[in-house]
Amino acid sequence: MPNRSMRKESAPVADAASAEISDTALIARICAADPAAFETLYKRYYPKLFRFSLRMTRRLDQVEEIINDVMYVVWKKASSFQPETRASTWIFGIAYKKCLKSMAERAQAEHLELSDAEALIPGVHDRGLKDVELEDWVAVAFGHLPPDQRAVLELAYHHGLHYQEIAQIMDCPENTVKTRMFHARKKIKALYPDLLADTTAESLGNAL
Amino acid sequence: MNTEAPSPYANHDQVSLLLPWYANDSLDAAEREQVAAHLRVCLSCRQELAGQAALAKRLRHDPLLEISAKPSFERLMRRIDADAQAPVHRQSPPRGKTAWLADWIASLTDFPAKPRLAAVAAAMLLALALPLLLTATPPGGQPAYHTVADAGSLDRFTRDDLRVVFADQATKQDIDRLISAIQGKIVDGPSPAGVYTIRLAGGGAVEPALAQLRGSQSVVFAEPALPQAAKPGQGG
Repeated sequence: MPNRSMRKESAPVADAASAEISDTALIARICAADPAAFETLYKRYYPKLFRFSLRMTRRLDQVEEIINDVMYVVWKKASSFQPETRASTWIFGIAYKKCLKSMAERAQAEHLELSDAEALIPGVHDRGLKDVELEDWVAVAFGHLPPDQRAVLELAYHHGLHYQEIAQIMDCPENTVKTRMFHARKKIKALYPDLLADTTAESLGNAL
Repeated sequence: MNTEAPSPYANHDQVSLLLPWYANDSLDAAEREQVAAHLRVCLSCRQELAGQAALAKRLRHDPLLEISAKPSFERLMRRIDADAQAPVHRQSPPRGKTAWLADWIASLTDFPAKPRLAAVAAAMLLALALPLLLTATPPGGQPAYHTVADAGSLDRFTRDDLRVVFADQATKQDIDRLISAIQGKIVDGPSPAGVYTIRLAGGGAVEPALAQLRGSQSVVFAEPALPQAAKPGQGG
């Protein structure tokens, strides 16, 4: 591990230029203890990690600690990054483990059975549910999924990742990712049958 | 010979598992075509896909919160700085190939904390064993102990050689980078005790190279392979 006891002073990476520097190039500079490159990578990943950690843990008070734990590992272990891997896969892999650790420490890895979930959501079978703000709807839906299913949904649908990359991040077989997604879909569909049953001619035509 | 193409409906279960990734447009061309062919004949998968596409759209554009990264980054850098300034001896000793070194150092530093009886027992054991140690010759006539630079083998070293033990957690990249930084190359090792011999290119200055190695967390031991001559102007 490189010695980072004496960080180099270097010029900040200008915002315009930083957009052109790849994550991998920034990590290479972090290997040489370059704080400007680290700051650029930190700011680039902060919103992504913020969102992912919040979705996973659903604890706003834990999010900053998790992000900084993740980026601390990035700073300390930059030299162990394998350039063949996508930087985002490496960083999200660290984040996933930190989220699980945080939840385990706080006994947050709750799992709600469907029958319990339905009882706790007022009007889940009401027609009026379509009027519910969709952001609330998604948040409630996520709250009733176990963390591994939340992670798959978030990584696939918000970050647009392929199941192979999600499997790398979660350190599990690809079929496990598909199965987790299948169960998440099934659970959400059971909770919100009307919202996901978009069977209009237009939407069905767009499916192809 | 059966020349009929397989029914696109035959792989319903397999395709059903791929629908979320069809919805997020991340499938490769072959998988995408497989799903598209199935969707043309399967109404239930088309319904499922429409629902998943709606969920994907909501999640993709869900903004959550916008919070400035700056204060968090500053807190992290304070943590990193504090960590860098923490005394090295508080860290856990490395195990594995350098465990012997850590154990030896620990045995020296922990000794006052041991019960006095243990010290007395050790002294008695040493008194009993010392005559045997002084007179006995191990099989083969070779000493049964090793130092990092065995006496009698020093003639294979030059004044530009360093003896180095790397930490267990040091990767090959770390080691290569360190050696490159001091313009050296590995000429021997690792020995069974994990010792490398590194030769400085072109008669490089030993002291700065040692200082650089000793300042790295990847190095647990770095010494000249040969005793260094006193510098002009130094006493003794």
